[in-house]
Amino acid sequence: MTPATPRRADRAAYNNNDFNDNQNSDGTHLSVPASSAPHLSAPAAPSDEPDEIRAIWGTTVNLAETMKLFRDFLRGFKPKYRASHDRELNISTRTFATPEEAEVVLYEMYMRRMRQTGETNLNLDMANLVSYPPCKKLHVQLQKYPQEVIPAMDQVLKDLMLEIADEDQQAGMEGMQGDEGDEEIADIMGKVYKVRPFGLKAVNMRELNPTDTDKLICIKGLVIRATPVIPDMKVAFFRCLTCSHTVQVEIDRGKIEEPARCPRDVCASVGTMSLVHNRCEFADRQVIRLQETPDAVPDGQTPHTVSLSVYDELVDVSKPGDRVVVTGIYRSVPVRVNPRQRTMKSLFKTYLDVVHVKMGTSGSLSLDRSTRPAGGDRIPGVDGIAGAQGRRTRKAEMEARLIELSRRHDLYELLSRSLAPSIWEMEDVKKGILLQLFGGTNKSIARGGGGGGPRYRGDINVLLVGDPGTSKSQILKYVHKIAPRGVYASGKGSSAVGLTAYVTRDPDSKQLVLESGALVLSDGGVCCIDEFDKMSDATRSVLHEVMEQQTVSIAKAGIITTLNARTSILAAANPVESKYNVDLPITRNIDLPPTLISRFDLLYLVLDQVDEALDRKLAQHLVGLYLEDTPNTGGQDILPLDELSAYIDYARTHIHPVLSSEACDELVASYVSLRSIGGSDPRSSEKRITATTRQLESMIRLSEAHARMRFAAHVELQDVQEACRLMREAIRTSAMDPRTGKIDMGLLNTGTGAGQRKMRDDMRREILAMLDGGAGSGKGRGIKWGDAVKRLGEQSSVRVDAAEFTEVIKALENEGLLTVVGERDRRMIRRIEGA
Amino acid sequence: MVSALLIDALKNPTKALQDLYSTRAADIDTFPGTVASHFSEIFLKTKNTFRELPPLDVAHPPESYSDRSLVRFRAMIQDTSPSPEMYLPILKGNKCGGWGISHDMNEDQWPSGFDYSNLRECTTVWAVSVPGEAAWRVEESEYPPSANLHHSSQPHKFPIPDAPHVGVQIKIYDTDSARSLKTTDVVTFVGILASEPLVSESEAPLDVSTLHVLFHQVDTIEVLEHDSLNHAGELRDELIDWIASEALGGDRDAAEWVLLSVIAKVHLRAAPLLPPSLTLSRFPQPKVGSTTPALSHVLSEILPMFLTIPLSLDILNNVKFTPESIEENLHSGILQVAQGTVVLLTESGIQEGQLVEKGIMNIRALQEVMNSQTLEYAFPYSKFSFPTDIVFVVCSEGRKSAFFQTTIVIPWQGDASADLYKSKNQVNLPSPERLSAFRSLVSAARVSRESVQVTEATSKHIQEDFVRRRQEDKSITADDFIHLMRVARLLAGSLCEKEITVEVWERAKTLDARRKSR
Repeated sequence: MTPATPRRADRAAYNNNDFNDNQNSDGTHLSVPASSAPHLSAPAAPSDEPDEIRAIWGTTVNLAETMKLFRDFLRGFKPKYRASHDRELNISTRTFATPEEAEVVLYEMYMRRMRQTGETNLNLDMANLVSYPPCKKLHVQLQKYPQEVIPAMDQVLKDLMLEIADEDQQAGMEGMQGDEGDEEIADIMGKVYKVRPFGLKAVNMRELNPTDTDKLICIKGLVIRATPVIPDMKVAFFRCLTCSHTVQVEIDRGKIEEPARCPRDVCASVGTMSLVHNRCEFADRQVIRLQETPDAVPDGQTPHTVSLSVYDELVDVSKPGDRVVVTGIYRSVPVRVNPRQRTMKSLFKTYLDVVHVKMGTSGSLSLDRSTRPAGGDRIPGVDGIAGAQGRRTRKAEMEARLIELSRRHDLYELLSRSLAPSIWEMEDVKKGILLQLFGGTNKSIARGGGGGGPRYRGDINVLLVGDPGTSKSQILKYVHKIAPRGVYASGKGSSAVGLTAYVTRDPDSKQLVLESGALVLSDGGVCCIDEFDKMSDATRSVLHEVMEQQTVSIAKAGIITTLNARTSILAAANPVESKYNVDLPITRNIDLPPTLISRFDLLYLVLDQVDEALDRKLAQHLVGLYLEDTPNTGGQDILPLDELSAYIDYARTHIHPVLSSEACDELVASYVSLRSIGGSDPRSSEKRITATTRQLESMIRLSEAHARMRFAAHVELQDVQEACRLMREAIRTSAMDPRTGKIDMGLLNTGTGAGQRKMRDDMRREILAMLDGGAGSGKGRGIKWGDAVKRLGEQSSVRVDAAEFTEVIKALENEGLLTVVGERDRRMIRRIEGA
Repeated sequence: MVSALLIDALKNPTKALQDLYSTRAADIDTFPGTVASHFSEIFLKTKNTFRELPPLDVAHPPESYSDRSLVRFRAMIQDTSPSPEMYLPILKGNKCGGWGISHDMNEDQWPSGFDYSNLRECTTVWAVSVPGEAAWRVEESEYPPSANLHHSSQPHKFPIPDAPHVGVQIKIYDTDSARSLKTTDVVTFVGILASEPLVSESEAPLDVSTLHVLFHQVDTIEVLEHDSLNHAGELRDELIDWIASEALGGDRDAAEWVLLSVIAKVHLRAAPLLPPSLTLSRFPQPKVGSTTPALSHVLSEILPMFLTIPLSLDILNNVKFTPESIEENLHSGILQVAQGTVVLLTESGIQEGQLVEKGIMNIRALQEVMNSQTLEYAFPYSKFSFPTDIVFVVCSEGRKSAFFQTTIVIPWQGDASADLYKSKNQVNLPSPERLSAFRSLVSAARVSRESVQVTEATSKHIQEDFVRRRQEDKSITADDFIHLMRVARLLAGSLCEKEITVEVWERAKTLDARRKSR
């Protein structure tokens, strides 16, 4: 019934001429003898029917040939093959820096590196395989018969590792001389090498069907659950109770074929074979449930889930919440209806035996790498594969397109236009959010210190405040869709728990586990919070910590811990009276503590304006919509969502701009000028606080983000200028004093504006002028209180506030410049002569 | 005349399937399609042939049928997330293996030279009785109701907690046609009923009723034809009178608004032109006894799918309103109902007390459906937003609803002495003939408001009207304008007119002005 010959038997067959066979007579992974006494009883001794063993069961594929092909590939593949292959497919590639670069024997280089680093996994880009002309066949075989071909490749890899080590020793390479070399070789012998193929086109998990069974496939999805590590029996060890003859049996399709009788002809007792646990071989295994990502699910359907089995090095590589691309062998196994019974019913279960895991999918942005500890999430395998050459896959085409895109002169406009294209206007808001998506670079003082040093956030926080119905929520939803680890939360419904983290009992293990809420979930991503103003104070206080320290501290059920929440926050809030009152300062319009507001790099006011021409257009648009039943799609030149997402992702992972010296100068200059805007009026007794160091930090982050968007390695003048412009625009609308039109950060930070003081100054001047000029009124006689208010009102475009007026008069009185006589309505204001 | 094929299929569907397989099976890949067309030809020939099929519903639960009987099941798809199941399409001796036939076969029944790539898959979904389906929609059937009470093995998969329903695992072998099925779709399945383990990852499989589908049909809105539709205006007045007198203490305006609301449906999601939600404010509290307003009984007589949710703190805090995937099993929530369902929310049961987080989330979900007609299903690490089409009518004692912001608020102004909480028997039903006329009016209005048009001249008039009014009154916003257009569209629909005329526009304006002046 088994369609494949046990793979280890194959290996044993090939190991016959392997010089290390004798040294590993027992127990190692590589040369498991089919029996402890093969010379006596092995029924299918390799030497008996060599041809049958060497071909993959049921096919004409000759394993020896396959191994030879792969050997040729490892020893012969050069980057030039890949380049010419890509050219044929019209994928543009990077040109080689030197002609030598194209001629490097890539995999020999990798194998040397593996030896030096002690790495045992080789990630094999299947696109390289197909581009090496003699290996086209191997590529097909690998896809069709991975179960047989991969172990064969593993074997070739090990053989070659030894060969190369031997060659290097002979050649007297550094670190391989004499005893040192012997030691290395012995080391290699003891290791298990694995080839991990990847680079197939990812298919939707819905498209998997029985014809894919036992083929190598690639799918992407979201990890929703992972079991603890399970010891998984790979080879069972049986001993005959009568004659102590031992037999090893390999697992096949999840079951162990228990020998019914002792295989030794002499003994042949029935039912005497018993399992010896501590001599069986186990692998680390983990079962992962992978769920479709929202972008892959057809409209109106709930997502499907598949099981993945990961082994050994791949265990614990991905965590729940991660988006991954996995390459693996698709399996169907019959389900035992009753686990205690041996009979199999014709019910089948499918899963994927994973051979390669890649974090992040191209559909959406992956999480920000710089937030993860170096090497912490590293997928095992030689990394060089993913570096210089390995990336030259289908992705290369996309990459080239992105780089080309980055050279467009209207790039900035194009990108901001493509962000939420259904929303009109609001150019600057979109630009701000765009830069938020790119993000500044995270900086850590102690680089290489395991991330232990203080870390300066590169995340840009944006707050939108505005009238209802100005599509704030739409923008948020859109960002949530394309942002890395985007989480959307509404302030109204989320409690501190929902937004942070909570402790629950895991239904499987009955252990206390931490379950992250929105902010922790979006670690390294963007957290969109709608109705920010309706959030409870308790929750908001958590945000204080998140936005500056980027951690969440929780103390619950006996667990006290600090979780990372390195997330950008995009929040939207409604003004206090639901409609923005332009006559009130912003702090009175937003019901948020100033300390929290100041933590946002950009704050935008989105206001609804009344205008007849606009109204007419609107009415036309609405009725048109109503008549034609077709929504207006804009029809401009915009980037599709996935491309925008890919662009941002690429920039975030590959571009880490640093400040150039002229950018630094410009930053300093801009900061100084921003600060001096308030202080430019020498007469004003008190300086307004225009910008604080927080704003300087924001400017740096925004400039970095802008440079990143341009795919530039250095932050240049134009980046800083745009950052300043955005800051100024954002400040202008938010910190603008409604009466003076001046920027006043003090308004944000303290709630009272210097503009108010300015207005008092003006009023004071006018009152004095009125008294001195005395239009009609005789000098010294003064003016009636009521008249003064009236006349001031006539002169001023702003309504004269009675309370303000009283304040000013009181101040003047205190200064001894005038005096008020009389009571109530009969009050007279008189100038004190000589003063 | 009833064909022999039909009788055979009814008597022994498995055999009929095997026979079909032996005569027509050329290719296992096309066979499911052949089965679907063959059996739908037999049963969908006329309405009568279809009615020959025994129904699966609360009165005729799975327990009342013997194993592998042929039944029809009108159901709402609740969950499409179970993974497709693999089955052996061909058994030893070239016998058909699908439709549950191969299910219990041991290994020795497998064909020789078995190859895993010869397996085929069937789509597995979970379907439940249509929640809130009106009693009058369930036609009389010649099959007597069974005494067996059905207990669904997965009660959490039905939107309404503790309500009698039938929940069945559906296996569709014609995977191409199954691809278009969505959650909350109402579909009639015809298939072979059996009991099989639930497709799930759990270690201890649970046996559930399973329907192996031969063919299925997605329900569409049908206009119930009626002669009196030619006089839609009069019929409409009559219907409003009936609603007003029986349920609203003679408040005709309120009744008209109720009618306009319940015929609304999602028109356009992109714009969005969504159905309005309605609050009947100042709605008196029940005095004694029943807390269900008579409006509930009245509406259930004329609407095909209708639910009453008596809101209370207990329900809000403890009942799931939105579906949530728990351990990879999608639990349903009250709001997971079929498109076109009307929900009456009554606030009379709400007392002072604390609303816990769940309650807040439930209210948020309700509001979200009202605002954007989307319902969020919670899955681990991701949320999926699904389109819904649910109309809400809220009865509230206060000036406005305590929890919800609805598009329209109309204070009730009826006869204070009228009993608004009449029991079902106390409601005077019109003659069956009139009642069916009402039902057809509602169904026709729902369809016709889809196709209502506006002429160039009218649209000009409407535009000018808006600009002028905004000049006069700055507080009028685009939302008010959209609201009026929506009302006009509904009004034209309720009159079964094909066009919004200036007259309808003006009528909508006065209707709305009357409401505002209350």
